[in-house]
Amino acid sequence: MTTRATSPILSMTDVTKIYRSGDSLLGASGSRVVALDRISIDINAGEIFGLVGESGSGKTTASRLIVGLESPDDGRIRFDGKDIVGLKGRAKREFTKQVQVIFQDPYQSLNAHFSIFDTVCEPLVIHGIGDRASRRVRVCEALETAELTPPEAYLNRYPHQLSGGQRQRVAIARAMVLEPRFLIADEPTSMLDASISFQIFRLLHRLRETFGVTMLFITHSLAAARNLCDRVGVIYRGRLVELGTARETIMHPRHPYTKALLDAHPRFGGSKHHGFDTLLDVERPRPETDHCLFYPRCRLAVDNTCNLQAPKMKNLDAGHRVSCFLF
Amino acid sequence: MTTALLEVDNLSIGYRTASGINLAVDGVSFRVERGGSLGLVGESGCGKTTIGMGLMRLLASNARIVSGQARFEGEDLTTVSEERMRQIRWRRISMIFQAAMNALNPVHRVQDQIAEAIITHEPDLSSHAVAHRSRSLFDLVKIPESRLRDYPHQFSGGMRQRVIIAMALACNPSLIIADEPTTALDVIVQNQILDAIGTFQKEMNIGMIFISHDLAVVADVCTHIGVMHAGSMVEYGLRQEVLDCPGHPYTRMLVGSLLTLSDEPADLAGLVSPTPNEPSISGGCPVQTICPNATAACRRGQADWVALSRTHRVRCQHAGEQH
Repeated sequence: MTTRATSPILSMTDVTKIYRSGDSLLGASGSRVVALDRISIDINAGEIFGLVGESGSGKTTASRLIVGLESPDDGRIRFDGKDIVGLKGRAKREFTKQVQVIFQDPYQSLNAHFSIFDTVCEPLVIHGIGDRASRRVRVCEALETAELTPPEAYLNRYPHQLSGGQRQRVAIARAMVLEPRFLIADEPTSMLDASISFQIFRLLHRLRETFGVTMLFITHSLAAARNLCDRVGVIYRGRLVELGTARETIMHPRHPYTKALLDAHPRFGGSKHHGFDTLLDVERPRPETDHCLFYPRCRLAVDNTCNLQAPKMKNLDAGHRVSCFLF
Repeated sequence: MTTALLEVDNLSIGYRTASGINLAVDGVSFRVERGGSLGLVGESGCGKTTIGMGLMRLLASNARIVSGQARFEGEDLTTVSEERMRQIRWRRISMIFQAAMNALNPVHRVQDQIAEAIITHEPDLSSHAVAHRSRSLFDLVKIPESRLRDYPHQFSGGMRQRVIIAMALACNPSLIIADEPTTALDVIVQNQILDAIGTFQKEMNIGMIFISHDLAVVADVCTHIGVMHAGSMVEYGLRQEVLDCPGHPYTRMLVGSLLTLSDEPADLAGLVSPTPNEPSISGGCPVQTICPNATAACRRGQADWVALSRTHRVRCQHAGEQH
């Protein structure tokens, strides 16, 4: 990708989030789940950053922390240099205006009782922007941005009258109506058919080209990340294991887990089977002490190292970073 | 040509609705060879699952087979008695459902659940033989013997799906219908399950119908591909023929929307794909509303099959005009 401004618009530093289940009535203490473990990511203005991981890896938790739906247990999240944890009042409203989310499931993220106009207009109402006439203009513009044309044909319809792809476009229009600077797309196409997903990817790509909006794109699909993102971070069980340009990270991965993901990718149409073969057939028992979380499954693991401590992020070349003792 | 394991001929399945019979599957024909595998690909609502349920005769009460035949080992599945169907089902044809791992009984050990599947269909088998077969099934799907006495909740989603596959293989069927068997799973687990399916299919010489919305997965697993849209099959051929030279505009669109891994990213801005119209079929070609090449002829009626090769056929008025 071309060089874009390199100042981070969003910066996560050592962010940790732990979910605790309540103590039971019988006195057993509740369990802890470390959803995010000391994650540090800088996202630069104008780039599409992909966060890749399997279900349960913590990628959605990251998005919830960034928009402030939940607070981190440790670490800092800064937007435009300002800490977003504990924002209140006017500063909070200004922040939420600039950061918008597109959720995974357009069948659930739209209120069935709201017309499309009401849905897309709601952010304007909440933020007290414009009057009746100007809101209508902005809603129509947002629908056009999301390629729902002519917008007038959609204003009075309800979500149940639209297809999945159209609903997701409405969700995109709702996110774009405030002209945000930062967009989080959380698996925006996992509920959609292949050809429709492709159109949504194209639309997101166009939003960046046209409006320069920065994007955090959350996905489990290496192919989607490869084709849409400038840089990607690979997350495994709450820890960032590899980070770099989409091309380097996905086409020339270093971390055994990223390699395993690539090995598992459908080998359609002649794209060669890498055969990194980094997965063990039978998992090792999980060590008691702190350890590399991939150790139990890793064929390349080094005993007395990987099972005794957690690896730190190391810089390789050209911004490529990997968290593995092999480097 | 030898007789195929399964030969489906002009199968139509309809759902009874307030406005009459609604055809979910409209005149579909295909064959599955012993040891071969057919991938049925299409988007949600295209009728691919209805075909699977129709062949198993497990359709919803408001659905019925309207016409057509499905010859399987000398019998027509569309007309055999319910009594006979019960003998065929699971013993000769078994099915792996989507997210079936959630269907395991939580209060029974997995080994007992497999044994139950075997005993139900082969009551004469000695308990020793049942135990032996369960062990070899677990071996085939790579579940360690030490886990046989575990309960389903002690297994991960992928492991449970392996148990389901083992159960589907319990009675040595000659045909397996796998309906999105890996859709709810993560990519590494999906790959392992697909490998397991590929292994048993080869080793046991089983025919398979693999139903999926994901062309990339089907391309990994199947020898033949049938592309479905709005109840009709629009293209059918060997895997490589369909992927390398798709003859139907709809298949081209599916192949074109496949995001692959390569050194250069796809030109997202440049690729033309059809506008997101809602399909509203009122006669004619089922793809007309989303097809960039649709003409008046496409609205008048559905095209006949056009053979592109001995094994590759496509149902499009304009087949052969392009490229």
